[in-house]
Amino acid sequence: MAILEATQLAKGFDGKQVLVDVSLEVPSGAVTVVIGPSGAGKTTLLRCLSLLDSPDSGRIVFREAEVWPCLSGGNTQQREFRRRVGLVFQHLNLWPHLTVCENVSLPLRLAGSLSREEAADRGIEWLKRVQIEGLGKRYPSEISGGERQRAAIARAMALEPEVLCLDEITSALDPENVSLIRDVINRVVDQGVAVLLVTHHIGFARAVANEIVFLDRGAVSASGSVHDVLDTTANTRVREFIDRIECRI
Amino acid sequence: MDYDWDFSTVLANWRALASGAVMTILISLGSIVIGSVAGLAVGLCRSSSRPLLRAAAAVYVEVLLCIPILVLLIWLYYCLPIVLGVAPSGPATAITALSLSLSAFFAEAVRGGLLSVPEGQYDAAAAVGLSRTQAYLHIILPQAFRVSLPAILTLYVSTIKLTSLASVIAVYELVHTGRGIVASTFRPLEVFTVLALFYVVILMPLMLLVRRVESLARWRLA
Repeated sequence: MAILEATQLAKGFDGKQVLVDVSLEVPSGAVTVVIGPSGAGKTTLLRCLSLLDSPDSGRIVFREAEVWPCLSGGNTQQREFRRRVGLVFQHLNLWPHLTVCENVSLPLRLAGSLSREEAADRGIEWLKRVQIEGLGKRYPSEISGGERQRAAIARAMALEPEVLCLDEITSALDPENVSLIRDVINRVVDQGVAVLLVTHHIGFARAVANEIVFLDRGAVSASGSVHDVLDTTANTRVREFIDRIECRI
Repeated sequence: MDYDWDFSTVLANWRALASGAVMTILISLGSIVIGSVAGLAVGLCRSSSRPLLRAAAAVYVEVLLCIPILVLLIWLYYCLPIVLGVAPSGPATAITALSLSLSAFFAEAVRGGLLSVPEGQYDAAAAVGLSRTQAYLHIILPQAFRVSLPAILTLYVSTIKLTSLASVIAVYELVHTGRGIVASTFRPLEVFTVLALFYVVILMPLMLLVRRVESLARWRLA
C-alpha cells in the first residue's frame, strides 16, 4: 500500500515547466527509484514531495490524508509532515558549524522535543547504525565524503521518518562506500520505511530498487519493476538513456 | 630633530586623562551594544522575505551610510532640541550618533553574512522540521556571524576611534581632555603620543581576542 502518493504534480520556475504531470506511488517497506536524464525534474520532484517547494498544481496524499494543497505556509502541520518525510540532499547540506553528532541530535532536540542528553544518546545510536560512531565529535569538514553521506542519512533517519527521500546520494562515492550505503538502505527498508531514491547509477538502482520510475522532461514516461523498466522496456527514450549510461560506465 | 620631550606634564594630569579614558570607554561600549543590537535587527529585516520590512531597512541603512558621523553628531546635538524639544546630554548624543552609524554598517555586515550562507542550509533545517526561528538561531546566524566577524571587528575598532569626534560637542572623552591639557601645558606632542598609545592599548587586545576566537573555530563553511 502506498504511504505517499502524488497525483498530477506540476511545478515551474520562471516560466519553465519542470514537472508537468507527475503521478507516482511510494509504498512502505520498499525502494522506489527515480531515474532520468539531468534536468528531468527528479530533484524538484523530491523537493515537492517533501513540501520544500510548493507544487503549482496536483495533489499529494500521505497516509490517506491530503497534505497538498491542504497544508500551506510554514505552519506546525507542515513541519510535522516534513519530519515524517526525511530528505537527504544531493549536496548533503550538513551544518558545518556543528559536529557530526550535533548534526544528528539538534533536530531531535528542536523538532523532536528530546532533552539534550536524550538527543545526544539517540544521535550516537544512529551514528552506530551507519557505522560512523567514532566520528561524532568531528566536524563535517573533517570527515570523508562517504562518511558525510552516512551522517546525512543518520540525520534524516534519527527523526524516524516514514518516508526517506534520497537525492543522488551515491554520485560521488567509491564502490565500497556505495555498498555501505546500500546496506544502510536495506536496513531502513527492513524497518518498514518507504525509500524514494533518485540516482544516475543504474547498477545501484538494480541492486536496491523494488520499483523504477523513469522521469523525462518533467513527466513519468515509464514505471514498473526493475526488470520491466530496465531490461524489457519498449520505451525507446528509456532504452536510449540506459544504453548511454551503461556505455559510459 | 631637536625636541626636548617632557612627559611629566602629561603624568601630572593623569586623573583628567583617566577620566577621559573612562568616558571614551563608556561611549564606545554604549555605542557598540546599542549599534550591534539595532544593526542585527536591521540586518535581519534587510534579508526578510517581507518587502515592506526590506524596503524600510534599506532606506534606514542607505540614508545613514550617506551621512558623515560628524554631521550626524552635530545635527543631533544642535537640531534635535529645536525639532523635538529635547536636549540630550553630550555623551548621550555621542552614543546615539555612533550607534546609528554603527547599526547601518553592522546591518550590512549581517546581510553579507546571511547572503554567504548557502540556500541548502535553510533547506536542511526546513527538511528536518525546524521552524524559521529555530533555523535562524541554530543554523543560519552562527554561520553568518562567522563570516561577518572580521567586518564586525573592524566596525568596533572604527567606532572606538570615532568616539574622538564627540570632542566637537564638548564631551570630555580622551581627545577633548587631551586638548584641554595641551592648552594648559603647551605640550601637544607628549599629550597626543600618550593618547595614541592609549588607543593602541584599548584596541590591540580586542583585535587579538577576536582573531583568537576566529582561529579557534575548527569548522569550515560549507
